[in-house]
Parts: sequence; C-alpha cells; structure tokens
Amino acid sequence: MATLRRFGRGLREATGDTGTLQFTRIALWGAIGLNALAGVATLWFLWVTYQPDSQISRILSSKLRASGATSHDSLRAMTAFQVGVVVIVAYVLYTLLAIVDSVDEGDPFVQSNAARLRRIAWTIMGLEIVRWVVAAILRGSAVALERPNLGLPFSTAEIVAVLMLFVLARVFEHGAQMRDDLAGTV
Amino acid sequence: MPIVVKLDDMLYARRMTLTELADRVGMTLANLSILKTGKARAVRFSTLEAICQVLRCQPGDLLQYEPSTRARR
Repeated sequence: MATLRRFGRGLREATGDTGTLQFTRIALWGAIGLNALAGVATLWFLWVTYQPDSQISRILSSKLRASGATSHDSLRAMTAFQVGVVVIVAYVLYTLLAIVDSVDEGDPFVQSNAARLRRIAWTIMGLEIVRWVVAAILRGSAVALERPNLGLPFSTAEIVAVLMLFVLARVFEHGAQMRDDLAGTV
Repeated sequence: MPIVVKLDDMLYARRMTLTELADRVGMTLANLSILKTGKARAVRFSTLEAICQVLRCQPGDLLQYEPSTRARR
C-alpha cells in the first residue's frame, strides 16, 4: 500500500506543472540533438552525391535508374531542401525552448511569447507550402516525399497544428495584455 | 493619461508622507508610487476606499479628469 502511495505521489509529481516542464525541456533538447545529427547526416549525404566515384554514389545511381529517375539532380535538390528543413526545425525548437524557459521563470504571458508562437506558426505553414511545392516538382523521383494516404495532397494534422499555434499566439497576446493591466492595477 | 492623480496635494494637506500612507493603508510603497506618479492603469475600489479613509477625503479629491493630458498607453 505504501509502495502504491509512493508511486502515485511520484506520478503526480512527474505529471504536475514542474514535472511536465522538465520533461518538455528534456524532450526539446533531445529533439535539438537529433535534429543536429540529422543535419550532419544530411550534409554528409549531400557531399556524397557530389562524389560520383564513391561506392555509395554508385549504389544510389543504380537505385535511381531502377526507379526510373534520370539523374542525381533531384536527389541533390531534395537533400539541399532537407538541410534547410533542419535549420528551420532547429529555429522552431530553440524558440519553443525560450517559451518553456519563460514559463519556468514564472512569466509566460508576455508579448514576446505571443510573437514567438506566431513566428513558429508562420514558419511551419511556410515549410508545409514549400514541401508541397517540392513534392510536386519531384513527383516520380525515387526519393519523393511520402504523404499519408488520405487521398489529399496535405496532412490535416499539420494544418490543425498551424491553426492551433495561431490561436495560441492570440491567447498569449491577450494574456500579456491582461498581465500588463494587472501589473498596473493598484 | 487624462485621469490625473492628485495624491501629492492631499498628502501635503494632511501633512503625511507617502511611506506613512503606505503603512496605514496596507499597500507597498512601490504600488503607491505607481499611483502617485500616474503610471497606474487601474485602481481597485478597495484601494480608493482605504486611501480616502486615511486621508479623510473623497475620491474626487484624488482623481481628476483632464482631457487635454495625452493618454499614455
């Protein structure tokens, strides 16, 4: 029984405000690390595509020929685009980290957080639009982007996420105004 | 701001310092300074009541509306 009580207390602490914040910070740093690794791997892969005599390049060429693609160019374009995605994802993750830090400091309802959320929303929306365009251009390539098979050219989850971010930005903006009013109330 | 706080005048009339007033109404000196310098965005009725009680005055003695003063926002 005592063990169950300790477990319950631990669970409440882990999922309470402080626990969630710590978990989020750890998860964000983990994501930043993974994103950085992905960036390094992508840059290496991009370099490989410019080394025609390398083993990997020869394997890629045969696979591309088997899929009907005619050159490395589409692969390079995709890889270069992926480098850009890594940079943008890093920006989004660091911005999220700044928001989490402000919550930890006890002052999340500030105009800067509303602006950060709005920038993240625009960034993700821009990224999705560019991804659709690139996918359309590279249709038929062996390394074309895979989309969920919903019969739609886009993912509804991502659209909902973008809309939610815009709404959240407005909520934070309103919260910041209320906080400013409260700060000036005697 | 068009609403001007005349706390200085009342404090002078009652020969009281801001610190004394803060102690007697139970407010921090910082908050009372915000009110005195016209930086407050809102005043609670409870605060107004406490100040009027200590200074033995009316709210109208403390607050005046001067539309010619530019609103600071």
